[in-house]
Amino acid sequence: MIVEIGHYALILSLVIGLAQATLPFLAASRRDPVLLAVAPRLAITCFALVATSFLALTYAYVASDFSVLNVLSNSHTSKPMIYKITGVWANHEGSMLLWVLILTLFGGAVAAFGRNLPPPLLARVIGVMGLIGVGFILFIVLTSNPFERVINPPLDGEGMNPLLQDPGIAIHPPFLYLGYVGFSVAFAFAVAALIEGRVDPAWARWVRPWTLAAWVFLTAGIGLGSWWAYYELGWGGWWFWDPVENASFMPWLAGTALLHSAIVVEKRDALKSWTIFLAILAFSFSLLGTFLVRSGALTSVHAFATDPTRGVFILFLLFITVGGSLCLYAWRAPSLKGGGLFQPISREGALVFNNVLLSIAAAMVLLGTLYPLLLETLNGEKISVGAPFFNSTFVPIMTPVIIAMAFGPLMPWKRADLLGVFNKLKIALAATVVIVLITMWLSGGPAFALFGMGLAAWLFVGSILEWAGRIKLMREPLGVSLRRMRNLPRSAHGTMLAHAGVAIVVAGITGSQAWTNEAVQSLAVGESAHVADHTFTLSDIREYQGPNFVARQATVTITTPGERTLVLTPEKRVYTVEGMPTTEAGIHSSFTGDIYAVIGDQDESGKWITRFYVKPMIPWMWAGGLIMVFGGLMSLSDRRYRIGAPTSSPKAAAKAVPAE
Amino acid sequence: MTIWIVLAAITLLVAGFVLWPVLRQHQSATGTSGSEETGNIELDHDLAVYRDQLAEIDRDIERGVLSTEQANAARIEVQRRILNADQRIKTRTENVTSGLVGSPIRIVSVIAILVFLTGGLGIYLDLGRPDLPDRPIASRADEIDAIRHAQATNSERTDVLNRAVSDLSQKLINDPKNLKGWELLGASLMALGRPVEAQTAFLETVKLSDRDGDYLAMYAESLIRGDNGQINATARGVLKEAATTDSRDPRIGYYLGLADAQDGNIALAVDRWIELVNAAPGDANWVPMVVERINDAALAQGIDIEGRLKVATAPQMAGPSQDDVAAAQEMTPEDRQEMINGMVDRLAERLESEPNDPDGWARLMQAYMVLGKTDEAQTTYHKAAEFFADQPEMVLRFDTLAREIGIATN
Repeated sequence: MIVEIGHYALILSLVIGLAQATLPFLAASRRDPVLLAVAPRLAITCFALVATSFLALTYAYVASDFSVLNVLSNSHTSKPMIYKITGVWANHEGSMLLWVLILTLFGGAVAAFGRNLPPPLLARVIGVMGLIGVGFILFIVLTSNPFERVINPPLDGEGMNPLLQDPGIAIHPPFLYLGYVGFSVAFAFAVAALIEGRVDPAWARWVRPWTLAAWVFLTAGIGLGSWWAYYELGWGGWWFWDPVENASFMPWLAGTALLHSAIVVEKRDALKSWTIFLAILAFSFSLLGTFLVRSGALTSVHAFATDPTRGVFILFLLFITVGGSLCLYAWRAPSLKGGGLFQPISREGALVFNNVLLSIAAAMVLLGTLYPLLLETLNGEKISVGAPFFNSTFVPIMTPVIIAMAFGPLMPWKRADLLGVFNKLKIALAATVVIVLITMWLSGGPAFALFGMGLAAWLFVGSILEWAGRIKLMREPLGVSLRRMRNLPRSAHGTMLAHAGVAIVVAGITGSQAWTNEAVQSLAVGESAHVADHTFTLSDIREYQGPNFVARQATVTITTPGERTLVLTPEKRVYTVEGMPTTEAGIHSSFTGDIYAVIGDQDESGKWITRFYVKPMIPWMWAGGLIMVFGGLMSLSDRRYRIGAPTSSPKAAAKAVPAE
Repeated sequence: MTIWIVLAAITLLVAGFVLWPVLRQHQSATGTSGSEETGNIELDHDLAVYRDQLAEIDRDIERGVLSTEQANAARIEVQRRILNADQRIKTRTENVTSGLVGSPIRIVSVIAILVFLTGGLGIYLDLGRPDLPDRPIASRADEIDAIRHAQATNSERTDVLNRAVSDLSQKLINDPKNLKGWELLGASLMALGRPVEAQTAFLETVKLSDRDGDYLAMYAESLIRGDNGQINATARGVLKEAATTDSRDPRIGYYLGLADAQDGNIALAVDRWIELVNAAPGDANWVPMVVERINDAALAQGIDIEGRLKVATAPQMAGPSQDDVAAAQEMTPEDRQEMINGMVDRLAERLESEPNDPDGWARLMQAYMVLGKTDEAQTTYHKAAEFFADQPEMVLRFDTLAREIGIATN
């Protein structure tokens, strides 16, 4: 009965969603207070119904109810409990339900916490969320119903893709969806503002935190995904410019731009039209990602649905949502009055500069992702647009972004003095030169590595300098600085952390790309290989039985140049139910880098094929990502109102600060 | 029944929660005209935000993060925004006709929501399966036990057969002219899935019986099984020879048809099989299987067999009465299916209480296979094999049948 309650709740959520997509607009245009009060209740109910449905499906997975087709096709009794639960969203139908659950969660949250919004605006936002919800719930009910039943269920299920039976990838989709769908809130606010023809002051106050939350989740989701690819796929790579990865990266770029332009709207009451455009763009990219993954246009671990009707349905949804909102934008945006004009050399000017470059970067990724698909559709020619294209377009676009990132936070609002700002960055420039020289001395190149390390040093020191300047580190006694640090708005810490995080990511990418050493060889037990002054010895091979797999585990003993001894245990597993092999790399991470070992099959002579890598600095990438996420959370916790106002002279202001 | 109560409760809860503001409004019947209330909603909210912003500036000064000068600049900025907002709203409210607040739109909304909810129920009735209970694995211990038990009996049965093979082999060394012995040995080996060894035994029976048609048929079958279902030249020769005898063994006609089919002459195969089925005694248990083959082949090749089969395509049941048959002819395909299902269920029930009926078990296995219920067929096979576990001949019979009609016997 629980399963059927879940099915009924899903269908009720469709009709309540239909009401949510229509009545609030009526209520807002008629300004009927009673109906305006109904709107938030619709959003909350819709969430409660989808949550019921999701819990019912989870129950079916946990209890291994194979009378549910979805459970039968994607679960197995011998799976560990955690993968029974994550199995709910490790398939097309269940992951769509998770998508909608998060969408309605956000809709419900806006409804529940939106009391300080003008009721007509709130109603329209809820209405737009409802429209998106109806589209996706209809998609689930008609083409991807997870509650389809089996009359004579077999006694065991068909199992789950073993690549996805991993803690990293288990939490990757929820994070990614929280990110994707989080942009729907900004989108709904944008469309509501277009319908209203005005941008409330409360508008920016609402859009920024939602965008920031979505950005935090998306950053974490992308980071988890690339980390998983790195340790689970066993190729030692972490980013493949795979269309599905790009599908998550494009909304991230647009979302990053949106985040920064929302600051301008909040602080300066300007840049509204552009921010609305970015909000539409960010969510459109999220939908495009969903389309690419679900349409069967791509084949990869992510592309679980290859049913063409599903693809057509999502394409239709994409067309309606993106096309509709862009038409609305074209029609209504000219009526939105912008705030005051502003100088190109100012904080907002720097933000616009980065915004434009981030958007171009997103466009390049879009081109590189869709072009092969278009070409294949047009004349059946299969081409692969890979790393060379993206490296030669993406890097030149992002370089000025990173250089400007150090300038931006140092500039005051409204008007700035470029030379003055540059003066403040002299230390950063010096640090850059020092780092480049040290890199040259230690490694001797290559050129791009010197460039990347310099860029990272510039941004890192620049970000710290801005923060240090605000707390007057080194210029006032330490006590004063500490007190100033405590009083500093948390968003300022957030900015510093997020920007420094980017610098650390850049360093990690540069280091791992430039100085990775790898070796593939066949070894008998007891034999050794040498990679970058490390000695890898295959000490032992053993087999063991896991809960739902059999594994071959190698023991690899490594002697580092510093005469330290490490032991890694890479595995090759075969999941018995699914009959699929997976690689579990053995990885030792440290501040300086990773040591990475993979065990393969036996060759003709009975030796084991092994792959060893020494990857300097690669953990910096994920550490940097984590710092970015932390910075975002820090800034998110800062719920102040922001008014950016110019002051005539920073020096005068500094004197006026009273000592507490 | 419980499910309908729960679903109704959910629906009522949803309707009540969503429509609460309307209901409450109706009850108190205050009917305040919304136009004054709503006309300045935006302005009120904007001003509230600006007031909060001003308060925030004061707090920042207290915390020492804003200088007086910065604070003043910020205050001026906020005040300018307040003025702008005021201006904007003024021009705006002039354009907006004050809302037509009244019951019609509310009533329409309430009706819309109720219609939507009813529509939801309609969709559920179409897509949902309220009749199917949950089947969590924990509640299916008896099924799992049954399968385990059946597997255990299966291995027991293999032991029995193995013992029979070694006993018979011993006996036949001393008594090589024992025709029945060779036949039983061959059949046991076939049941154990060792058709190549069975060929030797059946060849003995052919010799001892002076090339009797029935034994030729058995020998041919062992040859075919031994060649993974391919009918090779030897098997064809044996089958053709068998066809010249007076044997009525259906395997002869069936495999000759299969040989035609393997040569690509499907039409000839269908002719042979139809002839075979039409000549079959009414209670022959292999008929449904052959009929299915005929239908499949006819369908695949577009051969019209309308009216050529004298038997009903439905499986032969225990006692479909004359009336049943008559009724069946007037039924829609769905109703007919329903009737067949009913008869199968009755048979299954009867066998539960009177299991000592090998023919009944065989019919039930075939019926399930014809209806496409392979799992049930397999369960039936296991149950039957279990009940007759102490009678190797019966076990052999079910085993042979299972293999013939495609039930997995492991």
